Amino acid sequence: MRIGGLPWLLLPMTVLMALFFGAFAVFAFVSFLQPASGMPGYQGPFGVANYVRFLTDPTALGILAETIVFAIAVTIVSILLGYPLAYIMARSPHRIIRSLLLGALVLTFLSGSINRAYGWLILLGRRGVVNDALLALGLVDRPVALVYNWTGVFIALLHFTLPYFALTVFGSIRSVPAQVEEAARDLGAGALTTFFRITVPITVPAIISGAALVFSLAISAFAFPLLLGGGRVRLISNFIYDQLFVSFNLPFAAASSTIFLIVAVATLCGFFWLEGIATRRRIPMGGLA
Amino acid sequence: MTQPALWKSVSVLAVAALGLMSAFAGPAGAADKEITVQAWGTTWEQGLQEVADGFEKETGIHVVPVTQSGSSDGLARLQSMADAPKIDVWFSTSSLAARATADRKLFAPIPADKLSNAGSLIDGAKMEAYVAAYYYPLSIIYRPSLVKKPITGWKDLWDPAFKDSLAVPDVETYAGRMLLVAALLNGGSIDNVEPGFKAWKELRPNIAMFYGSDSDSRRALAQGEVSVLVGPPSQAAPLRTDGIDVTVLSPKPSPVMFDVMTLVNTPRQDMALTFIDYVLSPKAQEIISNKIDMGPVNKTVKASPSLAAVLPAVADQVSFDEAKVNAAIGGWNERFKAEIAR
Repeated sequence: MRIGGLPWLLLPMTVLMALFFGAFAVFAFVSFLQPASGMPGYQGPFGVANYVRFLTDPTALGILAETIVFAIAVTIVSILLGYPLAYIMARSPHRIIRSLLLGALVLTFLSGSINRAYGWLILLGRRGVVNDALLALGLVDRPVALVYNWTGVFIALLHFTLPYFALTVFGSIRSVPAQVEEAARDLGAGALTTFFRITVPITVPAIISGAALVFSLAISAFAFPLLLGGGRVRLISNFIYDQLFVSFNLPFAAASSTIFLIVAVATLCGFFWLEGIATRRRIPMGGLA
Repeated sequence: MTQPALWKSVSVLAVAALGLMSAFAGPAGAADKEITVQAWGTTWEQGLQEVADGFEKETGIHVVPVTQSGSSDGLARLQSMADAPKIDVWFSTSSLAARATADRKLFAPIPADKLSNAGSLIDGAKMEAYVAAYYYPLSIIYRPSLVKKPITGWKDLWDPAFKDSLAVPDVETYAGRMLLVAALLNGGSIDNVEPGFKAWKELRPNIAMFYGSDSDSRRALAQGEVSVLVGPPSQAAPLRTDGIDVTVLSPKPSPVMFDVMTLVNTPRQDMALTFIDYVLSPKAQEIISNKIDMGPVNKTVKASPSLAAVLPAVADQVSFDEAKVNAAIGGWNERFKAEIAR
């Protein structure tokens, strides 16, 4: 359809996007104001002091950097665990294995994050199943602290993001014609060579899409650090929350959010750029349109 | 989670959902004699519901509850409806109320002559724009079966025997009182919290969790994740209901705090004031003392025997200037997150 001929068709989407971004635009506007002294609220003068404060505050910058590194770590581990999982779901010769894995993943996907967080608290706690097993096996002589720290948040967040990655890549692996892999095997490639030189390269765009999705979820994580971090894990969302509800500094919270949004969008643009390159390379290599 | 605890959570959620639905349904759903009160879910369920039922029986005014997970969240909700608030009475910590009620568009003053119980209140309970519903100390609650020897005072918490065993409130929760206790114990004050931060750093190996939610810390104590919890004595009642044996003590220095009621600027102020006055009445204060385990602010009411046993002696109590707390808490929180909660 030639959009230029029917500009009114763009109107509903424009209204929708204006509504979606209008709320944030108001919030972003507040970032240029100052907190009202002594009470929640904001006032003039208009300026960029909140941005300067964030960009010159080692604590704020440290939390932003820590959040990005943490999100990258979650993304990498999601790829390393999620891809083989998706591959088994797509390629296992045993239907029951495929169904069980897919069912478990979808069930995980559909359960709420709060339910999962409390589930992990029970599993990973000092008197939880994991510590009981470690003690029974003699691997440790006292319970290991698996929650109320970065470890607990990482495990829970990984569990949360894994289905997003695996389900994104699953469809892509399934869409790779089995004949392509069979042709590689017929030409003498081993199973691992076929996997790494045929299947993985063809599905790189899906890997990048899945990674971008996981990264977005990880970088904006709020509930898991709150519930499982024991007050010790502070990602950028928690920092913004503190500015809002502890310091009651709405303008600084808004400036922090805007900077966070810019960094997150820039990173996602990087992912999309990589995806574009991978797609362009894939077409001449695999000949798949 | 134990069954009673699960049932309680479901009840709290149900109360919250019904409250929100009724409160925000709009004029068509609003009764003539009805007010909306925003308070914490557990507190409402433990005793305020019974107070509201008695109030309705006596006055014919129906109370719709709206729950909040914390005072800050409640204030955010109120501010979001600042032009036409649908909440008439807001329960808050006194620290936050002192800050929030400076907004005289959203909050109305509470005239003492409109409160028949004003003359019976303990010192510090009545301010211009808020009035205390009850008071409570910051106490130590622990499970005797999980500790090697009974706890007798704050200093015991620094004992290495409590490694990874404590749940203590973060700076936001109970408005920095844990930091202030640590400061007072080590020669500091509200104007010099440096010894408090130093002591808190030394306490770090013993702290399993810094909590921001009473229910989270209570669950951790119930599951044995921690054996000691620093919080108000009211935390003990739900645990005992669930069959968990806990001991409470309020050692010196014992910071005493108020949870207060504020009057929101709505057309239903007269009915809201009647409710506030009812909460201060001996009848309601007895319910609050017996059911929520909070100290009564009405001098004519005696705390329940079990509560009286754990409330601090007057000489052991300390209180802090809320204006100073409010001015400093943002900085304390940033320092706490950077130096302690790592």
